Amino acid sequence: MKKNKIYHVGFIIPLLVVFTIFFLVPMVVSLYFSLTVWSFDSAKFCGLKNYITFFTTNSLMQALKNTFLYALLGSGGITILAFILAVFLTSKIKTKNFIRSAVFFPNLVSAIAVGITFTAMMHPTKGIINKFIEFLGGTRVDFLGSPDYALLSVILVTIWKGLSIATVIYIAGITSIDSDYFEAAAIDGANGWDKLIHITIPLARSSINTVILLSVIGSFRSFDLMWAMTKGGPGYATDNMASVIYKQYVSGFYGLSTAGNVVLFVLILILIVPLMKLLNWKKES
Amino acid sequence: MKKKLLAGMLSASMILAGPGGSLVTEVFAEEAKDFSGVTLTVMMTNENTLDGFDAVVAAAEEKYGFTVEYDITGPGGEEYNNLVRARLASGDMDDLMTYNSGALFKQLNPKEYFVDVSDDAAIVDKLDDSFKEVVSVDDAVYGVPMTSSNAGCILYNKKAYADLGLEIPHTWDDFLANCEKIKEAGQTPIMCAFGDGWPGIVTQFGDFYNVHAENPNFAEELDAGTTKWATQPAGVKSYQKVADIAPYCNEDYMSTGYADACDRFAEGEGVHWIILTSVLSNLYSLYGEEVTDNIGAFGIPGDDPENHGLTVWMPTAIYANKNSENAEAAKAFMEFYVSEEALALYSEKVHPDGPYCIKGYEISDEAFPAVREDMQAYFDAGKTWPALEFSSSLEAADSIGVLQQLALGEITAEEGAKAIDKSLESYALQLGLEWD
Repeated sequence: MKKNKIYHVGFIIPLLVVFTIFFLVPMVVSLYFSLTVWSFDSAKFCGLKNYITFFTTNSLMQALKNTFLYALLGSGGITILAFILAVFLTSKIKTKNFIRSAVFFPNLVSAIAVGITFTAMMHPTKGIINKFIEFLGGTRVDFLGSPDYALLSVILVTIWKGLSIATVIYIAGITSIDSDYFEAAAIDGANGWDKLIHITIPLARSSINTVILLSVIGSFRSFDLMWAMTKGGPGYATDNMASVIYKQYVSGFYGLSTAGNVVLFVLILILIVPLMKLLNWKKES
Repeated sequence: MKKKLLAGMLSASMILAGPGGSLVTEVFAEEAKDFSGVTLTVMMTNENTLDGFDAVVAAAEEKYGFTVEYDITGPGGEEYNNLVRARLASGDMDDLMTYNSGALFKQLNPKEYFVDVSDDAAIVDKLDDSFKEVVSVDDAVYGVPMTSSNAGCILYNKKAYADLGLEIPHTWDDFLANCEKIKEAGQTPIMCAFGDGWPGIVTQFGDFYNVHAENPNFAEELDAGTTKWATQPAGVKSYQKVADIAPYCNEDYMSTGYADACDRFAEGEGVHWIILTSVLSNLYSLYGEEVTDNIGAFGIPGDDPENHGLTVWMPTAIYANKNSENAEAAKAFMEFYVSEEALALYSEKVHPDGPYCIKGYEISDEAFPAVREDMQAYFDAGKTWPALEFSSSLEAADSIGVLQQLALGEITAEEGAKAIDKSLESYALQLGLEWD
């Protein structure tokens, strides 16, 4: 261990200063402001009242439920679909390069633009998706206007948009697997399925972990796409933690929304730390 | 490459700044002060019809020698209001600011930030008393009206009313009966646009005349915490109205936005639309008077046919930043804005959405019939009252969500009113009001 200490402690000071100023200080300050009624120029201490207000917010329970559904379905969908895509794109197909760029394309478009485009496409009477459904003889679906489908519609678009990065991470993971393993397996008479289960998945484990972590954290604090598509509506059908906090912030209740952010921070911490432990444990065993 | 880019940017900014520096000023009126070289900035949203404002600005620039630059920040609503608060607190406010009048304005602590014009007779003597009230704190007066007033009302298609032989309803039940007849005739009775936030809340917010008619002290009592929406019968009824209209809305009412609804209402889909009269200016600029002449207006009715009134929104106001070095020029601009000369220029370009809040200034004969005839009748009869936001600062941030739930039939009017009360209770703490 001592060998690691060849560098002077002083070398980490620049990084530590940056980290303190831009991360630690704001965190501590926001903890303080979450205990006040705060209007930029004045802050009045009010104890835990903001937290009480936040936890009794009308739409909070619905928002919590949505946040978990969003994280579960969104990151689940991304993790599985992107893996299938990546396996497909690392196999021997002719238009590989073109499809790879096509898959990456959604990531180049901003979430707001994607949201507005899909809102137009999903419009119940004028949207292209419903026109197509009608053409096939089906009945129109109010994707974003009906509280039953709205959340699902937003999650589907999130998956569509999130696939690109996940696929790229997977492709990097899969192509870095030594081809010797596949050749050896082929000599032993393994078919494609065996190779996938016994070679590709175990050896791409670290990229799978990365994708799961990134998509779970991403969906917990996701906001832009949902806001562009539904603004949390209809009713509270697509509200999540981030949008509840945002609505309080734009009302000018800065202390209250800071308290909400502290709650969100703690919530992500509580969920992500065990998840990381679990994923790493799987890797070690 | 970088150098080229920099040079390009510099010359672009010089072109932009050019007219300000080189403007040669002629002072026409002798009493007008000369503010040559001063550049006044105005903070505003992108939701204004600027034709009238532009005309006044051009005349003011000529008269006083200053240049006026628009600082258009984006859409209005909560995001804009938030930006205003942040800019005021950080000392980053423009010379002039356009902002709501009423409770939202009074929350800003105007004494700290804005020029008090109460000693300027050229301004205060012009202002309508009801308007003066919503831009004043104590004895100080801070704003002048930027536009005409506006009302939350039910617009209707006159031709459809004539074809179906309908009469203007004076109670809510009569209104629903009309809707039923229209539905039977195979038309959409009400254009509903719940897809955007604010068009969906006009039905409840615009019903405040009826709540006020039942309890004239509702706003004060709500602020004091002694009355709640759920305990005020007319209050619950105003939430019920949102649930009542849902069966008569266009099929895609939860996905329809404001702009979409404007187009479809102009094309004749939807015999009614419960909306602010400012939509008339928008329809006029999109489709011309052919459309606006066919539109009539009536207030959202209550239960008493004898007391059918109108809920009015006071105009957005212009305020001058007290802490700016150009405060004097800004005040001169406000003074000019309410002068006869400016009003004539303004109304030449824009048709009002309601009466102006300037004393003795009548609506011209060219105004929209819905304003000139229908709305004016309520004003003449004294049957108008400003919306709740002008007397109480308690406005629930989740009104939009609750009203959407009501329209979807997920909750009842009582539950909706209770949900609003509950969120108001927590927000009273944020505003520093003493609630029980």
